[in-house]
Amino acid sequence: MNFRQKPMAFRPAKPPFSTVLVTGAAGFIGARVVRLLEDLGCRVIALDNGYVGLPLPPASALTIPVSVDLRDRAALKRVFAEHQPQAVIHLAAVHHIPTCERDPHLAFDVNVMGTQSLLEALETMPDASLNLVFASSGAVYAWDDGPLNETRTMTGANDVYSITKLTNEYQINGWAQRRGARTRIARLFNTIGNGDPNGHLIPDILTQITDGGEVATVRLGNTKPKRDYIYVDDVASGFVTMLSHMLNGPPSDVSNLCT
Amino acid sequence: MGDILGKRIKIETDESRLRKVDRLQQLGDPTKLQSETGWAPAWSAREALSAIIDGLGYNAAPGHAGH
Repeated sequence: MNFRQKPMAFRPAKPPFSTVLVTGAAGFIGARVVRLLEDLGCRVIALDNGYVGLPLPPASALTIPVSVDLRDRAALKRVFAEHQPQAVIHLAAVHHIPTCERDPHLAFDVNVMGTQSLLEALETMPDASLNLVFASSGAVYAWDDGPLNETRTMTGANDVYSITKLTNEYQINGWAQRRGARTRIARLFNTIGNGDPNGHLIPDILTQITDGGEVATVRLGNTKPKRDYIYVDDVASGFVTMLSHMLNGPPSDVSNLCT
Repeated sequence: MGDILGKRIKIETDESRLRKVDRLQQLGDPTKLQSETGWAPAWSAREALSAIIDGLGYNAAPGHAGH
């Protein structure tokens, strides 16, 4: 039998908010964020529109699943009015790069206008509840040789997905300054893990290896680019850690979530 | 991945898989979040790949411990 000791992701302190709304809660990362928050004792409003075809987290003593599309402004405001979240982790987005390139209207509609709807719903809450952790992307950085750094590396988006994410950063920072909100922007790098609905490369390589003979030939695209891969449990723990530390430090801040 | 599965592999370039635009490197500096909050990734790339390979129903080579 092949026993494998699985690493345990960093366990954050309990966030200083009793009710947290998570968008994209059915997603690959979102479902794990919901479970971790619940495990830490937070009440979670788990919001998703079912876009990726994964089920909403099940209802429990602490988790309330809500099937709502971010772009439905009225419905979103009703969710906030009913459940009174004190903080939001905003993960919902169209992030599959080929989909963004093929259908930029969808990407801008969900990522940019959906975020606008969320900010408008959030600002109906009391000032003390204007706390937002946002999933941005390492793709917002301009091309650079060294490790991409929050203060030293310039931003410079050039594909549809990264343009929507950099737009989101401006949207959120501008909103936070106007409204006196607290925000934490996470620039997330390449997330990998089990159950990724968009994970095609690893299954493809596995098929090529296992279908191959004694020495399997694996056919790939460009093998020179280097990427920063981070396991999905570490990502979920990172987002919740940012929420746990939300009330420390400056009102708005940006951090890489990478390895 | 070949190592995890106990298979020797040879890599070839497939022209049809080349992207028009591909950044040569996209590696982040994780120092800030780690120093401000104590968060650190627990999973190495190899452990992550082993878990994914397991999750997809493939068997790692005998004796492979996922590290």
